[in-house]
Amino acid sequence: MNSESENDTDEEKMWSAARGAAPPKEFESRVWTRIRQTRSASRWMTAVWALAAAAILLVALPLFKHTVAPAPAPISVPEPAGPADNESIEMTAAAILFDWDTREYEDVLNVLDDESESNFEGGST
Amino acid sequence: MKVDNERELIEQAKEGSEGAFTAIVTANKQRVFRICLSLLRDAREADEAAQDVFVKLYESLERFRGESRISTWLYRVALNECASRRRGRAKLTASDDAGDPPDSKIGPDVALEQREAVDLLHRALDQMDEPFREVLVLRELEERTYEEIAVILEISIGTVESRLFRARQKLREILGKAEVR
Repeated sequence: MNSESENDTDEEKMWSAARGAAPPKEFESRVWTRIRQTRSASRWMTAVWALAAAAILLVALPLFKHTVAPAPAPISVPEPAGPADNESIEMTAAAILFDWDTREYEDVLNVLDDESESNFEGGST
Repeated sequence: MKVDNERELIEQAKEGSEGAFTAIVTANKQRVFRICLSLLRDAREADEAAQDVFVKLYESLERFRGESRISTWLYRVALNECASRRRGRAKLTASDDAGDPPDSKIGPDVALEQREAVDLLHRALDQMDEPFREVLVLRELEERTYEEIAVILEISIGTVESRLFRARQKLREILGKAEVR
């Protein structure tokens, strides 16, 4: 029992001595120095990260352009056939009329044939 | 430091008052340093660790909601900081056995006999497992209540009691062996 209480006293003395420990002088100013260093380092790190991100973008963007398949060449849509101005309208019209004329000859022949046939048929009726 | 005064200082520090933050550091520096020294056994490293704890406080001041005492938060961060440093140190000594043993000087103002006692205590703590070491330091060195320890370590009061019982047994065992030698 006695040895237990002696142990307790010894331990208590040890703890009591340990409680007297105090940080070295000017602790507060060293804390502030460290805070300022940390803040400065953090600002530097932010700047470095921003620069690194910008550099990566600068390098990566052209590479990205090359990697992606080139956009297809624009399809050349032909001008719609037909007249574009007054002169060509006239020319086209003349061509049509010529065709009409040609057809007219044929038509005339056909018509003549038809008529002769119909006359024959009519004549027969 | 009174709770109201503490809250007021935190609010002022949040608004950018360096004086208020310095007052918080002054009010808490000894307990943070003391706990770091007990867990690290090296005055220089304990000083650095304690500084880091306050830097972390400064950085997270905006997020500090004031739901618990600032000391509770500081104890928790200090314990984590020391645990992390000890893990780093263990890795270093594992990879490089030629490393210097930790220095346990606690300052020139402390008498030699006291220094020896503290050194013996620190060596004993060093041999204990982390959960026992933490609970013992919070109870015996910092004289925190069971409830406070439970909040700081985020464990139940029952666990605090059982851990403390086993930690005290372990400490006696180690100190007994040390005295026999």
